[in-house]
Amino acid sequence: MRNTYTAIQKETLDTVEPQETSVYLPVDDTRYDVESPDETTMPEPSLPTVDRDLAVKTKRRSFVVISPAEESGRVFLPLQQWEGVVVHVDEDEFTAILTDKTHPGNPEEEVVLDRQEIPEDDQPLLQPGAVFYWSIGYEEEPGQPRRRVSQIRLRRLPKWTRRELEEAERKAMEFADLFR
Amino acid sequence: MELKKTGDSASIVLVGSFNPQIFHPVWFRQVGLLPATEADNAEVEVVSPDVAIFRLKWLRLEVFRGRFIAHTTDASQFGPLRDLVMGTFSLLEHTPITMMGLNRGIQFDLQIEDKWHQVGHTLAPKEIWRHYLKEPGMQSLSIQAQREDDYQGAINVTVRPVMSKRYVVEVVTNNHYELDQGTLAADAVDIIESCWESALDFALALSEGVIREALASKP
Repeated sequence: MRNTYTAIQKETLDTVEPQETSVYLPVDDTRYDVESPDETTMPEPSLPTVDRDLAVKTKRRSFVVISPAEESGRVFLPLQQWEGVVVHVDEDEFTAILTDKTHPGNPEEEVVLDRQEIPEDDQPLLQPGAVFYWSIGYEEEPGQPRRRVSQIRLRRLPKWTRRELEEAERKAMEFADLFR
Repeated sequence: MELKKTGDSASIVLVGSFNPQIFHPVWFRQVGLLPATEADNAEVEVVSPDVAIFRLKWLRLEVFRGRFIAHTTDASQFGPLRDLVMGTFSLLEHTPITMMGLNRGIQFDLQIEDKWHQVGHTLAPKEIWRHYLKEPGMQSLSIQAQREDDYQGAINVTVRPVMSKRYVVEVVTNNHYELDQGTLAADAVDIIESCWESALDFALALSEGVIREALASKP
């Protein structure tokens, strides 16, 4: 695991009006005002990471962090997306029911896929009932030619949600009524 | 007319009371929310009592004492983004949450300078501004609207040119929820579970609709 910080230290910028914020200054001069505003919008991409002058000029009670889009420059634009539910698993293949997320009007499809399509880390999750996301699209990164890629990722939820439990309970009650 | 997308990002923002130092990739791996390979290769910027920031190929996670932000620019990961947040706060279910934002930002490449200007001129007419300013231009336009469901909050939409990309305009839709006092993360998880997909669909329809109508209007 890479850690880009060698040390974290508190700093008071004397050009900034005193605020009830702590300022953490990593080695690359990125500035984080720890008190963030009460907003739920996306991080603003127009604020550069290292422009301390801008941070001082704006004097906002906000953190100054570049958005991921500009930071990594990586963008994935899907051409086709499915959500799948695994129904059967063999040694080399698995069968799944696919729902078309790009064209929701399309009927569900049953497909057989190679187990090797699933990343190594996700193999233990490949069991009947597992949900996965399958996307085919273009990946763009700065300085790299546009690539057409296919990626499958299994859903990871360590705990049943309240809604799932309620749904399971509702179905159980339906079955109970059937057998009554 | 087919609009050309050059970017599609989404984020879930929670405002509440958090303990940032929990949010380390190792914790996400241990509770099964991230695969080992991803967690072990995470780029950790900082994890401290006041702030935690780390990045994966598809995710940037920022947690402050008052705010949690999970953001992706990979449109194939909108489902996993939701799962990660739901999984996290199903485990940390007693975390107090006061506000929530389900956000999507879509970038459109308008390809021709005239079309790019037309969107700006249509959404923010310059007639009045020209009486006082030389060559005024739209840098950002924000619109707030009432929610149409039963939740408290608002819909906030921002349209802005993307200066780092030629003739590209971004529409960011913030589905903002004001939560009742005493709301816990488990309640926020319920809202995310039931509203995430519709929030994404709404943002897409709104973004495409606004840009299409702006392009179709007479200059």
